[in-house]
Amino acid sequence: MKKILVVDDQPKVRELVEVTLRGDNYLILQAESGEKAIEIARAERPELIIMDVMMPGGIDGIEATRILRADPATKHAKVIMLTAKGQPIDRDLGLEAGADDYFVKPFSPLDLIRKVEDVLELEGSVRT
Amino acid sequence: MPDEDRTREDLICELRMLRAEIACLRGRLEEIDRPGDDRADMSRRSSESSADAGRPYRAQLEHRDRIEPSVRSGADDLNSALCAARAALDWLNGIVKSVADGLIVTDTSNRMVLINPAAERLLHADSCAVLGKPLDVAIEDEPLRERLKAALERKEPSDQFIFELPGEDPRIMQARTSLIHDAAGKEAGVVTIMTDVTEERAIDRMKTQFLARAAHQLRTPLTSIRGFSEILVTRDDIGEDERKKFLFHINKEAETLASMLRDILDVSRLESGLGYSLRRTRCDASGIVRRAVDSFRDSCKKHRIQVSMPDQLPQLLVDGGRIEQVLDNIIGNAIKYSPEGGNVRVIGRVVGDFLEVSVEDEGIGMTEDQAKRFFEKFYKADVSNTAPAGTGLGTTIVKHIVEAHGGRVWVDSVRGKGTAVRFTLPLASPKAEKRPSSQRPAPSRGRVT
Repeated sequence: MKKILVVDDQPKVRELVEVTLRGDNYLILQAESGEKAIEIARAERPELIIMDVMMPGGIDGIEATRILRADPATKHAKVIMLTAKGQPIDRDLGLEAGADDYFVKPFSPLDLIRKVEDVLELEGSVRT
Repeated sequence: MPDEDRTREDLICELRMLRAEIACLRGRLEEIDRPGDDRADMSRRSSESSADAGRPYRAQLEHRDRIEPSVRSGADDLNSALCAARAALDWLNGIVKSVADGLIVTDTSNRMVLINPAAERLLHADSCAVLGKPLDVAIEDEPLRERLKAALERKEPSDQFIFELPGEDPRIMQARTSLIHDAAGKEAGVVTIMTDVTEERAIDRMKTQFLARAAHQLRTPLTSIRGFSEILVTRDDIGEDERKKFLFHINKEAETLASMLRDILDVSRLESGLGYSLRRTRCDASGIVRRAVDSFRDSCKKHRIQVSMPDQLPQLLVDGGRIEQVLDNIIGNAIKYSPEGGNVRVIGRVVGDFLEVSVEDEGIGMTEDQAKRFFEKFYKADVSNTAPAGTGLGTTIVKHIVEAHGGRVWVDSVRGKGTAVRFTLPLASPKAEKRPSSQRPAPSRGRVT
């Protein structure tokens, strides 16, 4: 089972992503802040991180992604930004920070499933 | 003595010349006295004039007497016109001096020919020192100087540009230049009007930030509504309990969305000067507070909300829904800005003819500047990605609602210690209090801007 870490300060959004992706293929982990996401990612080494951008606390999703990309322990994890920030400049910032894809809220769960499958398949093909 | 002889001769000569001039003048006077005669008779009349030399002179005096009133009247008219022109000039000068915008005029050689006091203040220039001076000397700010020169070179009737005046308190200025043309249509210089748009720009920036923020905030409830509804529609592995939970989420988020839209529409109405309507009815303050607090109890696990309201509290004559909106907003902020949890105290007490309600938290608090701007439209102290969510409209609406009821609202805050937002509401009058229920006043609709 591939591990997916869902990072969002809104419990309902984490629940929605978990319900969207639940099944036999993925193990879903959750974090409610940037700090918690870094901690869990270092400990659990998820294949994919679905990362919100705006989160109260010290580290937002952009900064958390930069930190994860710079850390040899977590730099191979794929990152999909899932955020309410939908301006082109926000997308550029997310991709510059190291995200593999950018997904804007509100989203279609079916589209998210496809996106996750695409990213993880690509990940698998690169590794083999 | 030769000198005396010369003097005598000179005098004789002068006398002769004077005599000739007198004769000539007599001839002219006679001519004036006979305006109907043509020029052919002039020489004849000149020879006859010596016979009755006094007649034309008298005629001249009579003529002078005739024309004198009209000459005087003309002089008076000229004098009045001059006075009027002076008054008009003073009036125009007064306007130019009083105008709040900076105004400068330059001539075709780019020399400063007029500067009003507002422009002197803005450009830190002294009119005595800069009038008549070339722009290079008169205006220190290079970008402005070059734009003014360019206005004359381009020969465009008018131009508009923004420039920044640096300094301790930098100002953003909007300048409009217009070519001046003289009566003959020839270019005579450039008039420039400078307006300080620093405040407007700050509000524009806050509005832009607000729009982006509002769009983000609207996306959050929409995410749950769209996501959970799509799952319910497309998936068949959802049990009854989950189905109910997801529907509950959808319902709650739709309420959140409606509340955000209400805030945005409220501010939009206030912005456009339309105001909003209050439906005042007799309300029990404790009931309003209880309802507002209850709405937070389920969702808020880290905080302890304590309520302390006096017994036997007189009723209020308020729009209950709006006062609940005020409390929702203030209590919501107290929770949002104390992320580590703690106590949130809602305390009511009667002060004179008012009920004073305080909502106190133990959160992050505010700086002095943030507290000053707490009720400012579109203002949000922290606009970073790590700030608590919110549109920045809530406190503005709180202020409007409380003030519309005749109360006041203020904030006491210490950075790192917590914040207390307090507001007052007038108690229903003792007269209304004693009135039997059948004679109670109908809900009043007050238009408030």
